Amino acid sequence: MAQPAEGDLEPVASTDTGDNWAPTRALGRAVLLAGLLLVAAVLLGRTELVILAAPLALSVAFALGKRPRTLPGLRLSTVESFPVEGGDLGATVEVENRDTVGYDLTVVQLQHSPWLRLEGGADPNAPRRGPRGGNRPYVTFVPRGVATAVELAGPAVRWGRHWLGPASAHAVAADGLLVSRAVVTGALGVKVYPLTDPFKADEAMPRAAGLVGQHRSRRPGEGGELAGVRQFAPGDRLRRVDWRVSLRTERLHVAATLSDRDAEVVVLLDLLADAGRSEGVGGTASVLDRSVRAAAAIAEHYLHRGDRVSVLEYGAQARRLRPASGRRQYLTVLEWLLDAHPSPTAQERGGAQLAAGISSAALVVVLTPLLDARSAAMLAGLSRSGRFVVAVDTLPSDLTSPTVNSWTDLSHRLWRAERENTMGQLGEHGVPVVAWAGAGSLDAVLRDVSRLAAAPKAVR
Amino acid sequence: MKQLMQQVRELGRVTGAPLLVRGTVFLAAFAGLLLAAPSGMPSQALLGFFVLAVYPALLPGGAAPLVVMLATICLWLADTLLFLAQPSLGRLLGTAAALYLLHSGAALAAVLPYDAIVDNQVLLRWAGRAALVLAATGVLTLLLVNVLPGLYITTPTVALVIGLAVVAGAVALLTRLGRRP
Repeated sequence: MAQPAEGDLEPVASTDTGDNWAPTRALGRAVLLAGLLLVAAVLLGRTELVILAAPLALSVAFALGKRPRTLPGLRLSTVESFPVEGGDLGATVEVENRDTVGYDLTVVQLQHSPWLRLEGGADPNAPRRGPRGGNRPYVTFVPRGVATAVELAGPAVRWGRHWLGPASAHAVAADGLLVSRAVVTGALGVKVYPLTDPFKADEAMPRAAGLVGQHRSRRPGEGGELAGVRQFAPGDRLRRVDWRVSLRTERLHVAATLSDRDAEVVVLLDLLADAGRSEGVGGTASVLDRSVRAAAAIAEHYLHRGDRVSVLEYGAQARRLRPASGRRQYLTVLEWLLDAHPSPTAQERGGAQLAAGISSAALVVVLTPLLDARSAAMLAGLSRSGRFVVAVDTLPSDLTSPTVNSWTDLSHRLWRAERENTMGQLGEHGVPVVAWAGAGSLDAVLRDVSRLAAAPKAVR
Repeated sequence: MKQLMQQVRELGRVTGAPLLVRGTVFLAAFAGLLLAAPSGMPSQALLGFFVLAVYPALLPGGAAPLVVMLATICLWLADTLLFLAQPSLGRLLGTAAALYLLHSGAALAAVLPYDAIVDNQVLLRWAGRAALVLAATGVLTLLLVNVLPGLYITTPTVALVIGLAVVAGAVALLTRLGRRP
């Protein structure tokens, strides 16, 4: 599905006041030198000076015989086809000459986000030579009454909301003697969705709660999973009667099944701190990149299975996306993730406060780099209030700190050890911490959490 | 220092077409100075011409092209008036072409950003226009040479006044063309 987006600005209605086009320095130079040479030729009586002046005078006379009056029209458009990171994006800048005189050249410049690696030229089929790209001006020839398009294409290398534009253009006519005012378009917004790391979790959800879904629940009910055979009771459906057992025992027996349920998954993004360097897709990833990609992958996986997924932000903004299921929710989650930014805050809600807004049956997946002590406290608080919490460590394993002095390495190691200690303590509190490694990285942990959920609990 | 590093980094962005145009500006300026200079110039003068010719290629948008063109004309006048040289027609046409190419090339270089990706058609059209103007100059020169008794004539006072009026008219016309809305 593609939808065109356009940023179009019609130039100001052309007036004949001459403000649209200004003479360049070259015009003054040609007139001055031609005049000086001709005067000198007459005063000194030397014909050769007339010949020296002739090309200058002739070129000015040729060039200014027909003057352009209107400004060039400019149009910026893009085809937005829900690109993900690494996907290609195209933009077109169209310059139109509505004058009766052709422009010698038009200089078109398109500003865009550095995460959009747009490249191109006036002729997209032309062989590429030398270094290209990166907000370069394009110079193109625009004959009269014709629109010329500059096509730019390239990959969007990082997720987020990016800007494309404004585009600006100015035309040059009369052999470089006249230059037009610049025409500028508006800017366009481009959404680039995060690339979902492949993720798959086969383990059962700790506590499935809804009425429909794919998870085997621990409650008897209508479903596909056989729980056992029991005697017929009023209310049982006749199609559930197990005739083989009934004939053998001479009493009506029915096959009891476990109901299929869906579950609620809460993905909690810890945005208190960011670390690492973001180089887009294929490069190193920052904490935020890993968190967002992991959240998209987890949401995609569970929504594909029919579960309800909600997304929460642990940071200054405390945004929240209500739980829902289906493909539409997946798109909403992706859109929601585009606005995730590190938002450090001094006052932060504790785990217990957060837990008040989370269903007690939900599986809470917390994506956290564990850089802030409050994150660990929040995890412990969530666990204390009886939620099933899994912490996913999103700190990049290859993170290095810049060396300041000889103590840097030691302090870095100390910090690492302290962080591992915190992770160990969290484990003792019943919060498993796993490093994000894509597919299957949560399986072992989810199995443990399911087992914990099945175990009898002391009611406080 | 930071600014210098920034400028060095930006050098890497330079593309071929603007470089070609600036190269043409340099060559035209250098050739014009060499052609206009009196014969028997010391070799140090060549270095001076070289430096002077680089100036408009680096800053085509400023006063540099005008300065170099004036220098060329001054050298020509010095050679013909002071040293009383009788330059050949070829040398005269060469100097005129070099002056025009310096002017036209600098006008193009001034509007081409140094890192622009340029459509080949722009350069080809520009070259075509320059060739047309030079051809017209050649025809005009041949006409002048055939009509007038010689390249170097002494004018009577009446002719001087008429000539000055013609010149004033030509300059006024060119100026009016430039200012016309």
